[in-house]
Amino acid sequence: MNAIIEKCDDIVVVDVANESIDASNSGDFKHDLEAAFEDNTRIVLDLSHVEFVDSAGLGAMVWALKQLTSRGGDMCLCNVNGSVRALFELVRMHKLVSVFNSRDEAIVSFKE
Amino acid sequence: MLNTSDPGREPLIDAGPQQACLAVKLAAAHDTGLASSCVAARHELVVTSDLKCLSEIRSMVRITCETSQVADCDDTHLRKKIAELELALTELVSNVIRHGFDGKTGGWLEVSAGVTSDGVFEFQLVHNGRPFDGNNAEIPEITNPQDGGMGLFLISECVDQVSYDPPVEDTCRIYLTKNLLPSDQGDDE
Repeated sequence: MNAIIEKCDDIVVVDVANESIDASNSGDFKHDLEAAFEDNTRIVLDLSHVEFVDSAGLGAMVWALKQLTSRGGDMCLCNVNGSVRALFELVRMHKLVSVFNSRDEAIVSFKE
Repeated sequence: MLNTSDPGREPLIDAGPQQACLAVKLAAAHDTGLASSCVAARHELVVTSDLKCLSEIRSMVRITCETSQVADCDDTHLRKKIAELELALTELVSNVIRHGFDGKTGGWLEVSAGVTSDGVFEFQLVHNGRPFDGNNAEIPEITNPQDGGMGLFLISECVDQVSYDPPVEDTCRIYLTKNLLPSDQGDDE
């Protein structure tokens, strides 16, 4: 899994470079997320390169969210494409995690 | 039945040993369980029971739909249908690999897909793993997406029909269909 991790103040942005997060790579994705929030509790997951997510990918995101919230942190998503957004709506993922149209909006939400 | 050794049909792709894909080919519609009224070339794929094959399955679905020349099917509508099919078939194949083969890579899966003249996408999966009944999809809890049958729920939401045949001679067969046409042309959405 390829993820570019950038830090903006105390907020970590994880830019997922893969086109898909599915059962074949969700383990690696979790590993990358775990490394990203080792010393951080506020994560922005940028999905601008991700064109496909399945239930395993969803599971990894929910797992990360649980890990963070249990430590008083939070995670939000940004740049979610149409088909991934449709999946989120189908499983009501958007009720569990905030989804923003841009990275800037997501970062600002943590600063408010 | 698929026959990768048929000398009359050359594989389009012979993947190397690093790939989960064993063979891809185009074939006539008469030798599988799919409807014989497929208008576009049907696509077939033989893969090992390795989750790395999932992206190839999605490519196959996309190509089959895009080359089907389904009449009066505008791009936005077709893209939505393709996205739903990609999700359903990813869930189906990963379920078969994880539960039918316990995640072991020694098995095989033969998949074929086509689109009928009336715009119905048809998909058949044959494998030599353990059978499982995927008909009991319940609405899962999002906080436990991997434990609550999320994959089966997504399959049921994204396709019109799925059936799991009883195994015959250690071979399992799963059929799946979805209408690609917009609702004013017979879609039941």
